[in-house]
Amino acid sequence: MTAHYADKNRYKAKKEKRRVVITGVGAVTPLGNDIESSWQNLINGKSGIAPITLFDASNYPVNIAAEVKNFHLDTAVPEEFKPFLGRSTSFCIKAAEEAVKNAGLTLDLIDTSDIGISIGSDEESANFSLFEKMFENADILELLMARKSANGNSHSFPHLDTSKHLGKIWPFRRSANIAASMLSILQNIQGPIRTTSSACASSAQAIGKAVRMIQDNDAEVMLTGGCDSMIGEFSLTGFTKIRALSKNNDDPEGASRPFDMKRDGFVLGEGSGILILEELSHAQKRCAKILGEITGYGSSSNAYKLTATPENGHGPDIAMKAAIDDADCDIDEVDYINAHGTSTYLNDKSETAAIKNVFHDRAYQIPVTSNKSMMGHLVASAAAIELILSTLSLNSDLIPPTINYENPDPECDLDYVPNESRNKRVETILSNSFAFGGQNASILVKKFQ
Amino acid sequence: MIRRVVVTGLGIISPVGNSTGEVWPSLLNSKDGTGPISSFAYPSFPAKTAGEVKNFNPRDYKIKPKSLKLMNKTIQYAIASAYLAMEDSGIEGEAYPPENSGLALGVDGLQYSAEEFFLACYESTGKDLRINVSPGNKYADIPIHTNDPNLSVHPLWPLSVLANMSLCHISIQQQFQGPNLAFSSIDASGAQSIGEAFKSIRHGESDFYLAGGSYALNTMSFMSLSAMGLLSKETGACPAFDSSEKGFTLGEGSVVMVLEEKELAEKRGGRIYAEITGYSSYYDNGSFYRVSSKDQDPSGLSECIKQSLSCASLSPADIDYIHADGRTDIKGGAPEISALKEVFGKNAGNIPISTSKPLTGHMLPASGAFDAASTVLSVYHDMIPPAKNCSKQEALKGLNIIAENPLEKQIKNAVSNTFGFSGEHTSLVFSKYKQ
Repeated sequence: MTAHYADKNRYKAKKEKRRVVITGVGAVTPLGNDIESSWQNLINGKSGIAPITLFDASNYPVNIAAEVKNFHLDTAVPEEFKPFLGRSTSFCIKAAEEAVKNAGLTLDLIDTSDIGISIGSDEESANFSLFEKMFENADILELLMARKSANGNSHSFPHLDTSKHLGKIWPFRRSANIAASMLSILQNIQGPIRTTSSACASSAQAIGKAVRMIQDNDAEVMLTGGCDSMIGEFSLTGFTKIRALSKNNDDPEGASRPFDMKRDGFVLGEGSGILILEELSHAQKRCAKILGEITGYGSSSNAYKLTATPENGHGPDIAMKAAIDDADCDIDEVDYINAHGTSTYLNDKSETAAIKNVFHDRAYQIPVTSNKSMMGHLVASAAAIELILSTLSLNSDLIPPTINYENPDPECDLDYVPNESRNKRVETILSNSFAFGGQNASILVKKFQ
Repeated sequence: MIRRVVVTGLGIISPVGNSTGEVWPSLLNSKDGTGPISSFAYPSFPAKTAGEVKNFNPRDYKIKPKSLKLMNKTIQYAIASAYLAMEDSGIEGEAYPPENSGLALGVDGLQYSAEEFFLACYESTGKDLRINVSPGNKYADIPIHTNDPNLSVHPLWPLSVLANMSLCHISIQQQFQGPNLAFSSIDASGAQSIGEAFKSIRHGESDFYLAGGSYALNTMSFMSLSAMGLLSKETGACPAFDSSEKGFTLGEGSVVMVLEEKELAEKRGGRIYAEITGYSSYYDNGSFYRVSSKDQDPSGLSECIKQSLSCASLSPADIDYIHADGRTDIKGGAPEISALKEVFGKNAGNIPISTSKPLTGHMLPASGAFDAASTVLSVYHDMIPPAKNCSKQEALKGLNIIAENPLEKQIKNAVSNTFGFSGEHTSLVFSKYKQ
């Protein structure tokens, strides 16, 4: 047995912590292109899932998704930056504008080098039609022949002629940090920026990072959250291949059914959620309305399997405990959990076990909901939007339902607030996010006092 | 009391060697790690030179052959460097409990080849390939069926291309269950990850971190960077600080370092390379891909260096060595040189400056971590490797560029700069360890 060198007092190393409050929120979701409409649809249990319209998905085994509808970006974008603006980045810019307005921040009046940006996002994957164009002169056939003769081991492209399509633009990929960069450029914000890419936990980690940056005096205000738009050939193919998506094409609105016995996978969504975080005194000085205080953040890794979450919930529970410890909070104080709740067989079972590991008997008394039942899985932006919606619950004492919950699963036996939203006094919420491959993050938000 | 953070292990996979023991002499002897690209062939592509990792065998790092199918090169390099860093640190088994073992890694987006993407999409639609074949093409009459097993893509292929997978694999191999952070800012993210791990330990989130960055040459990023006009078409690697608008040479590799809270490292008797004392990551939105008109302005770079010095409570006069980014610029001018002159003022001419880019090429997310590792080794050995193949441009006159032979010099504090082409700049300060 090797000695442990853990310093049990490391949490005490934190001196007087600077307090971090939420003063503004903005969102573009499958349920609406702003906070108000998204929230209304959410509490009314509406589903944003429908057949895919963004491209012809009729030949794919899965052809439903939660798309953002009727989206238009009004922001004036200088010509030279337009090639960088993908769908996901456009959502992000819109959500950020709403959040800044919601917070009543007048950016001209603040030293913008005190404002940082921390965004969780994915690289925008290639557009398949561009690929097809690239291969128009039949080079793809040569390539495939080469692969065939090498029994699938070939990695060379004999004559890929990209010259025709190579301009000063970036046709194949828009790297993950474009969203944060664009926010900085378009809003003329001069402070530090960070981009995290840990799949479904990305924006939770980005928000966690933002909290730390304020606590550590690196910024006074943070624009933080996430954006993603994965509804495309790449993700549809990829996630179908690993059998993560629901194949319930015939009943789009009933496809995402977290914690229900008949759940068969998640539904891809897209959107963006942005929060304005501020150091408390900064917010108070300008008389900002305070929507909540982020008191705890924890991150962990399962170190288990790439393809599965641990059935005993060990891994996700470390993140939840770390967030609760970070907040110096008692488990009895948590009165609502916004679950990751993807609607895959394994996640929902493992998350239920993890919640029980942390809360023991009390787990049965805490309402646990999954926004994904209505919005689908917004991947890198999921955590941000879910945290925003939880914050709204904090302010309205209204918990949105988990829809499509019809058939109880004996292994998922918590109170999932089935199908109808519920009035309940909410003081402290915990929001969970778990990524493919086993990265986890949890955030704790309290009503401001 | 501020918690102090020390570097106790280094793991390096690079074009100039696959271990610290191999890399350090290579740097001192200016061994060129670049050459004609061998891992893929793109005759129609303008860029033909890169710094490639050589003699890499995944089995040397306890990667199971069965798992290899799930790992692209980026992941393999990352696992290997993490393995080497752990070995180098001498940390045994569960010296730190899993939930106190953190990981921060700079990663570079989705990593797939165009070919796999194409095949996977067709395969999943269940359609046979239909390509607009030009008349007379020799393949025009050959049917290609997507159910041909030689054309199929591994069922778990998507898991091998997601950006965060390097971290997941390392967590599994090393049993790390603590904070797990993937940073994705292209070229600055390796240095950023080291800085963020440093901050996290300082903050008290964890006592022990593996941090760095990994990148493997792959066709998609090669195409994108070419499309941006960022890659050099020259044969041979680009000189450091070159301002001839030629673009840079790509490299690949992975660098991971072990960071520990100082007292715990001392308690377990670990060998301490250096202390990390300063970090700053500054975003200069005027220099975003050098597309804007403000792109000659060095103030973002100098602000970044200044902030890292202030984080370390040091003044410019305390710095004995600068590991420069030294990248070749695509837009002319030499903002880094102006920035160094601005920050270090009259003293700028006395501080030795070097860079490793001409030997390795630009390793994107791994490059900042490589710069940092090279700086750490300089602080540890009191030795500065030369910047081979440094440009002779006028602007460099008056600066003390170590260009020919390694310089032996007592180093108390050194700065390592990594400047990103998307405008994300990072500076790290390493100091000689003292109790």
